[in-house]
Amino acid sequence: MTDIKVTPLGAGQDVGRSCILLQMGGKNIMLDCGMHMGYNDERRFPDFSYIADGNLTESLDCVIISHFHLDHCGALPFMTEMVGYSGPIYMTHPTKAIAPILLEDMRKVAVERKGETNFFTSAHIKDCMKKVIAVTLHQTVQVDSEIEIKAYYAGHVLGAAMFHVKVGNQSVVYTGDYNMTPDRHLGAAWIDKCRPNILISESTYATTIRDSKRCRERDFLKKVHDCVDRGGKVLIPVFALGRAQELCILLETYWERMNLKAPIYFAVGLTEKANNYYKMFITWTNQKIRKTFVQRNMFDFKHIRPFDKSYADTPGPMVVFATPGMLHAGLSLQLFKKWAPNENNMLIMPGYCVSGTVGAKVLSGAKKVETENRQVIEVKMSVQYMSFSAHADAKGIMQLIQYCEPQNVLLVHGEGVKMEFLKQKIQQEYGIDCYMPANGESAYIPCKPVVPVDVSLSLLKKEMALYDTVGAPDPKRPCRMHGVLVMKDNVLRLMEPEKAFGELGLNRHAIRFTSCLQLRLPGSASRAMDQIQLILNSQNTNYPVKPSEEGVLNLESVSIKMESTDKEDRKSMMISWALQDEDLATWIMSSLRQVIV
Amino acid sequence: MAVLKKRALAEYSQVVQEEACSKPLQLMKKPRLSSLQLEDELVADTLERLETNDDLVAYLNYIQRKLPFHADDKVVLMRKLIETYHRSEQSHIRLKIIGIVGDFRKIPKFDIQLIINEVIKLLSMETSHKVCASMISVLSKLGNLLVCDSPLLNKIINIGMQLLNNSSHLVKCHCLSLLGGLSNTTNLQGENVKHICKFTKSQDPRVRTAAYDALLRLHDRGQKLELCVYTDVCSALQDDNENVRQSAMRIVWVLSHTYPESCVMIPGCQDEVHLVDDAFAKLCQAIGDLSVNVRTLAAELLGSMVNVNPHFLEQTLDKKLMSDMRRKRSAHERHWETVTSGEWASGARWADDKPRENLDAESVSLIHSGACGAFVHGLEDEFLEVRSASLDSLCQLALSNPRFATLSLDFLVDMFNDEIEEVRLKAIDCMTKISHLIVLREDQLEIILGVLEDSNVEIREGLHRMLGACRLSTKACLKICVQTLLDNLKRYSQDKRSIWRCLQSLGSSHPNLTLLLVPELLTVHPFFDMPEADVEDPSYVCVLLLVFNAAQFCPQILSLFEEHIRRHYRYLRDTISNFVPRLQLAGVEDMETQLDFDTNTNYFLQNVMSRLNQPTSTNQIKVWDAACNDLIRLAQIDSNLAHGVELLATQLECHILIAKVMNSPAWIDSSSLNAQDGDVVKNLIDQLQRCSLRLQYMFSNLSTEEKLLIQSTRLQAMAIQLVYIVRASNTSALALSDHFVSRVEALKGYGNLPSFAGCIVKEISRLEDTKPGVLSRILLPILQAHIYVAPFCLPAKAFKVNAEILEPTGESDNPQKFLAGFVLGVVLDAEIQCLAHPEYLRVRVKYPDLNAQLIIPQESHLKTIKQYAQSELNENITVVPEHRLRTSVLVSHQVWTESSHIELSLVLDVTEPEVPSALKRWRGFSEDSFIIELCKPVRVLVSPKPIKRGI
Repeated sequence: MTDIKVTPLGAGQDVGRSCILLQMGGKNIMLDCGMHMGYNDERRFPDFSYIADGNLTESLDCVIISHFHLDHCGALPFMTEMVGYSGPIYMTHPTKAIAPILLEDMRKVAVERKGETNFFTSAHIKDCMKKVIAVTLHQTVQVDSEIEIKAYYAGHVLGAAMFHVKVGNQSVVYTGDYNMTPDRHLGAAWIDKCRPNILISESTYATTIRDSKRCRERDFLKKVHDCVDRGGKVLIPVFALGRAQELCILLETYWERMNLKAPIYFAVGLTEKANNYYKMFITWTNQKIRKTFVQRNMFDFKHIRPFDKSYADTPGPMVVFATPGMLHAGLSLQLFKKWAPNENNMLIMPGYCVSGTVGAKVLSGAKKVETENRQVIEVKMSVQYMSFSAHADAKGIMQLIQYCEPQNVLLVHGEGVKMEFLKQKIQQEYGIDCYMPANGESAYIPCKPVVPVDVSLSLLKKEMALYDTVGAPDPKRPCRMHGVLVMKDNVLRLMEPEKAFGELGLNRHAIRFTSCLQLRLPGSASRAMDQIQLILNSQNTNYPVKPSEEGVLNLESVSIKMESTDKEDRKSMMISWALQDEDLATWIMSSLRQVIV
Repeated sequence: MAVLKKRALAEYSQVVQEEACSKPLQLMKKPRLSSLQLEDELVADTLERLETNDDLVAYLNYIQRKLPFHADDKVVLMRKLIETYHRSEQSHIRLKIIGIVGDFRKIPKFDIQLIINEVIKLLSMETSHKVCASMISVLSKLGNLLVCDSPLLNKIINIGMQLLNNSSHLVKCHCLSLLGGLSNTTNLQGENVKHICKFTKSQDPRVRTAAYDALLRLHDRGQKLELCVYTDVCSALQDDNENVRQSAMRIVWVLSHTYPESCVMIPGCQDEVHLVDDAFAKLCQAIGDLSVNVRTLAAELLGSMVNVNPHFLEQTLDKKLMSDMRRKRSAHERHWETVTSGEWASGARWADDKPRENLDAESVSLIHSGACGAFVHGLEDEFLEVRSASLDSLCQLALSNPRFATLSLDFLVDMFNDEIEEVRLKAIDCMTKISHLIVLREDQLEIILGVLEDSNVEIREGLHRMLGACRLSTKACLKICVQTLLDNLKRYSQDKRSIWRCLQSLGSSHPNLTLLLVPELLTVHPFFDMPEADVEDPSYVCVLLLVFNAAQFCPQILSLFEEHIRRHYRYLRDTISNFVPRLQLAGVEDMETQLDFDTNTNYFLQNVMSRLNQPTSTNQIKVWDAACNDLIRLAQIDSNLAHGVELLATQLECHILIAKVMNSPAWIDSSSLNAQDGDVVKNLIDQLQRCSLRLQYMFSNLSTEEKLLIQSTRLQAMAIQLVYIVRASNTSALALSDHFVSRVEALKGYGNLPSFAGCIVKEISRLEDTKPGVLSRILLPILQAHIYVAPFCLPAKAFKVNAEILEPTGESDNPQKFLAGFVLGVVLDAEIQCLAHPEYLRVRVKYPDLNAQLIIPQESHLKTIKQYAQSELNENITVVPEHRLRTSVLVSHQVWTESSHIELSLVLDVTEPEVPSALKRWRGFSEDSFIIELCKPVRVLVSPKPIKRGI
């Protein structure tokens, strides 16, 4: 059972509904439990029946949630409350704080607006959150006697984390979504050289290398500034959390720096609640915010105020952030309708739009847009696309691999074709295996079995001291350790011989072998010894030959003695060695034979 | 108490059954040293009397603090210490003793060999690793004091070699650093290097780091590292420990400077590259390292590798972009294309970053081979340390490679938008430094000018400096530049001077572009007379400055001037003459030519000098007085000579005062004359003190002789004061004479002292006893012999410190209100030229009740204005060091009935160097005798209001 089995229930060669089943060392761990935003039927949730029918608690040891985006945590209440799971769930503190807000919002949209039934309720969300155990960065959490998890910073959104899961000697790193370039409010993902067996990485931008973000930011700011200077209104449709905060910080600091007076509005909604959490979790943000929050918390916006519907008709310049991000409904669409006909105004789309939405149409350059009630809007305002994305690009993914040095890589959360490219690159440049299982498909990753042996400290120190006194360190010299391997209670231990014998209550016996060699060497016995010493020294640098008194040469436990026989040039050489130096003795014998005999 | 007791019981109940609970909290007693009679000299016997270890440690600490002392029985003390060492069983006491024994080296003339021998003896018996390590570090420190090839040094090195095999990492590390610091660097074989190299393979990262550091140390001491180390060191760049990586990087860097030209094989193919290029690529890779410290170091080191192949250099700014496997162009490239195609960004093209050609999957290399994109990553890093180090390096490299400078321009401009101000400022500074290598395009300029709206003064002024230094490509560039500067002036009127300066240099460096713009800027029309602009209008003044400064290099502009502009020229030339150059205008010749003729100042000066250096006449004081007045006037007339002449005048003033004091009989005898005469002398002496202090502290950029002359004059002034105090007053002069002697001793080392100082030094060194009475008896004849002897010469290069308060202007009639007893911050903005002693600069606030406060400005508020290489045109301008103080002066007072003026001024407070602590309480000085005023005070109207209660 040394293979690790990874089965994506979602996000296998696909984006959305991240849910990955990890089997390792006899433990079952679920990484993320997301929902698919594109479906309205049961396909939006992972197929939990794959794991077990009915209650999951017995078949799952723990669930780990990487961050609060719904495609990573959306199915959690469904799983815990409706399918049934009462085991431990782990997520970071900010995720635990913000995830229920998003879940509640989604529930409202699904149940109250779309009128769906058989959906989880507010109470379900609350109950679900009660089961969550919050973890801190770099804190090692012992799930049970064998599973150990540790969270690393992942950038992406507030509270996003990568998880290092360890069972016995095997370990896996799951990245969730991560970002290797810092942005205005978050830092870059970071992990130490933990050398896991598998790195399960997202690969949204597997085939993209992005430009520097500074250009994009500057363009964005300049465009907004120009428009405001013209007296125009700027509409920025955003999704509630994540990028919106980044853009807010960006505009806020720019307003501060440039001493601008035009108002910036933020459409009220769940964002205000979330902003409070952003203010609280300062330690999760980037260097600048962390450094300056004593003077002023960057999320205490000075220039950004909540939006009121009546402001829409106020004359004069303003900047408004409004939800939703794709202009398909809600406030952003209303404002768009109002402002589109004026060429002074501007629309900035900071993210991707699904085709069919108003946003997508406008972006593709349509000058006239039809909305749901056959109303035609003339688009005269200028339309800009600015991509602010918080996923690692291909270079970032490669960098992460370089950081943590895994033995295998497994790609999820991306399109299959793109993964193929990245897979090839990883294999080519790092020479390690790369897997990309589809949903429901299991990848078996073979792992070399490792047998851990406990070495007693005193033994280690003793042997180290021996090694140290020999001379300068030399990585090529083998270093032998003399001890007794004891197997007891399924644990292997290397002990000092005396101790082991003491424990076992046995007497220690030493075996020595002695052999005699007839050599033909002229001169006296002591001269012959010198000659042998010379030969041995010239061939063997690892073990210094120590001559001792009475004409005996010592190498480790091997001792060589020379005796003259009656004949002049014939000497008999006695070699004696202990069992542990059998190899050395054989080597000495053979080399002496070659040279002298 | 009860709670404490409870807690103590709760925690320890399971461990110990306490017999007596009367004292639940046991505070550790501070060892009382007074009982040991430490007041008297260090008694070696004390060591034996100490019983407890705590006492011993405290006493040892005391000894260490006392070092270096002048006790006679130093050797005895050391013997006792070593005896104690043998007695003590606890390693921390032995550690302490070793530390103290090592510190004995600080005692002058102590026998170092003795210490070394003792320590070596102890070392052979020591068992504790920590103590061993400390002994080795002591030996290494002592070894540094030995001569190069003493046998003892070899002994130390041998010990270091032997102990390398010790099992403790600490001992190993110290041995390595000992070897690095002491071993002989002259032998070419480098046996020591080889041995140390072996330890770079140690299993302990700390030992590895120490080994690399020792190699670096050897290199610093002149041992050439061998090339064969390179491959090993490169593999250490992948080490797991970040300290090892850092040290290895330093070695790679060192090697790249030692063997830049030798070739290195690229693994995997047959090509060879130069070592410097290979090392550069390796360091570039380290910019993507896991650890911030490594990244910062990498970014720092890159900057000095200027001789790297330009091809590699350019790669650092290149990051192959792609999107969905298709090649994509970076925003910089796109921008460049829109500019070159002559078409302006129309806005609504969201797909203009759409990917172009398909890439071959095989050809894309994701792991940066070589230097690819290193700076792009470095400038985008999460940590400002890395970003600012990258900026520095980028700038340094750009300075040596103009092509790279042009490439890096876009990236520097991008950094103007960094989130951290420090980095933004640094980006602007970098740009200023390389500005002579680049020509700004219009689109780039537009982005840069956008930053002028920044609300931070520093950023704006930095940008003004940068614009002043840069080169613009077209007329349109200059036009938007001027326009934005004028907008800037409208928004932030306090930038006036900075903008003037910027336009001044813009004008003089772009005369031909300005020529094209003159009609537009001055609204000159061929047929119509346009309305005359108001010369008080700041933006009009700006335009005029640009045009005038351009006109000095482009005479055609002169012909475009209309009558009112000529008038304005004359006006501005008078009011802000340092911004307006002299122009050859037809109409104003008569006035200007006066200045153009030889103004005879040199002749006049020589005249004065010769009069001064004539043999002494009977009415020498009158001659000097006249000369002094002449010089002061001369300083006002000729700005070129002003600083030196003022120095001369001040010196002369001192000597006049000296002569006056010594001619008055009341100086040495108070009894004979009336009180009035006594006051006169006292005043004169006081004046002399101030004058000599001014002489000493206000001038800089002097040669040694000039400095000594000034010192001598100051000494003379002090001597006069001393003699006066001894002879004519009844105050104690003990401290004063000590101070005087210490001043004289400081002069001892110099060779050719001026005659007065020379005499004094000679006499004093002969003296056994420096009591005031004896001193004054010796001083008197010397002083009298030197009344009129003072060789005068003109220190032509001298600078005089000069301050100007720009803000507050003192013109505002609106009182600044604040609550009485609370603090008001008054913004102070001042320029200080030639400030040689920034540490003595103070802001003085004088309240109407004659209270004065000296405020030490925060160090960060006083900035040196960077002087960059001036363009060829302004070569004749001497660059004077300049400081800028921008701070907020905290003012506070109790309630006043009405608003009143407080006075702010900048002063030098030289109490610290001039008044030794023994003299602090001496009342012979008047309160502000050690304060030198730098500028006229500025008046600010403030009004502290009473606190309203009961709201």
